[in-house]
Parts: sequence; structure tokens; C-alpha cells
Amino acid sequence: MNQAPQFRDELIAAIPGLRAFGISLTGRSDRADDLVQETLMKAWKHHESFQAGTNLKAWLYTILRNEFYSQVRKRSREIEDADGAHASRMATPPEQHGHLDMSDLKTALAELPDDQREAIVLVGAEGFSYEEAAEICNVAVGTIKSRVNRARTRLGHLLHLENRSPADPDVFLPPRVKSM
Amino acid sequence: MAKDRRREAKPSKSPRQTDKTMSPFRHKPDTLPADDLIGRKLREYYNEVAKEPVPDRFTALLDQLEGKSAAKKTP
Repeated sequence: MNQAPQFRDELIAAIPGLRAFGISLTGRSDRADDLVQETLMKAWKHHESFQAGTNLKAWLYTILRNEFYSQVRKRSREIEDADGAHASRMATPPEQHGHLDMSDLKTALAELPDDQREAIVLVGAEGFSYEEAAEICNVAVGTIKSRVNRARTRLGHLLHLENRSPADPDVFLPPRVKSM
Repeated sequence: MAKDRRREAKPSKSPRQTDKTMSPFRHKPDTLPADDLIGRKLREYYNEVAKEPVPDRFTALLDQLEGKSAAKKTP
């Protein structure tokens, strides 16, 4: 089957976003790029099974996400990175955030459970609709909505935004939280 | 505005809350005031990576895959 040059162009166009999604899943750009590599190979191999005119972007993200979780299952007994920020399982219960500096969104995202983090990254950062995000994560639209809402609430709390006005000039500089 | 924040414990559909610069996003969910900031931070986070040029390893991979596809077609 002829792989139209257009398919290659569409894959290339999707790479930056896929890398960003990979980083949100793995916490590491090297692992994220490995995921993207796997995704491109699978997409190329399964090009015939992709229906032209349907959502290529969502299809690619689904492949990447499935590859990530399949690797997580394989790694589930391995020790993750020393800092554990993106452990394959949530090592830290959500409540124990007080000792971390939450000035960084990436740090705050790492505090979310996997399902909330991927939902809010897909909808809030990658620009997918709820319906598309539901398709990628293989859950109902309502489930995605509730995960996004919970993620928003949690991020607001972690970033100390809940008692601040958007007009507050300090709002991008939340107070440093002292280590315990 | 403090008064608005207290009233806006429930999601608000005020036009003032719609940020037209977010137009690439097809669906803007009902938001609390903090969410515009969260949305902005999320997109900043996304853009940090997305603005990087596509690494060579990926274009090289696609070249390689294309080369293999072409080779298969030629008897």
C-alpha cells in the first residue's frame, strides 16, 4: 500500500505535541522521545488500519498512551527514577504536597494521579475536546470531565490560586513553601 | 474583583470569562476564575516542548520507514 507523503507530513506535524504528552506521562524527555519513536513505528506499520478522514491526531495519541501503559505494566516491579516524581505508580499520597515548591506547574502536575494528569493535559494543554480525550483514554466523556474538574481543583490548590484574584500581580509567584 | 470571586463559587457563563485567544480549543469548559490561569500555565508548559524543532531522530526514522516501504513496492 502506498504511504502517501501526506501521511508522513501529518506524522511530523504531530510530533511536538506527542513529545509534550509523552513528557507529561513519563516526566522525562528521553523516555518521552522513546515513546514517540515507538508510536511513529506503530503508526507507520498500521497505516492501513487507520481510516482516512478520521482523527489522525487522536489515533496517534491513543497509540502513544497505550504504549506508555504497556511499558508501565512491564516496569511495575522495577524501581523508578530516584526522585520518583513520575513513578509508575503514585508513590506519594496526594495529601503530602506541603513540603514541595509548587511554583512549577510541572511539579504540580506530577502530584496528580495519572488519570487526572493525562486528562487535564489532553484537554487543557493539547487542545483536545472532551470527546477526543475520552476516545484517547478509552473512557466515557463524563469520566474525562470529572477527571479534568478534579485536576483543575487540585492544581488550583497546589498552585495556591484558590484565594487569589487573577489580577493579583503575585499570582504567578506563589509563596515558597518551607521544607519540613 | 473580590466580590465577583465570592459570587462565582459556581461556574460562571459570563462573556467576560471567555478568552478569545483560547480559540484553538474547541471546548472551553465552565471555569472558576483560577482556571484561566491554570489554562494559561498548561499551555505555557505545552509550548515549552512543542516549540522545539522536530529532533532529527524522528525525521531519520520516517526516512528509513519510507525507504523500506518503497523497497517493498519494487519487485
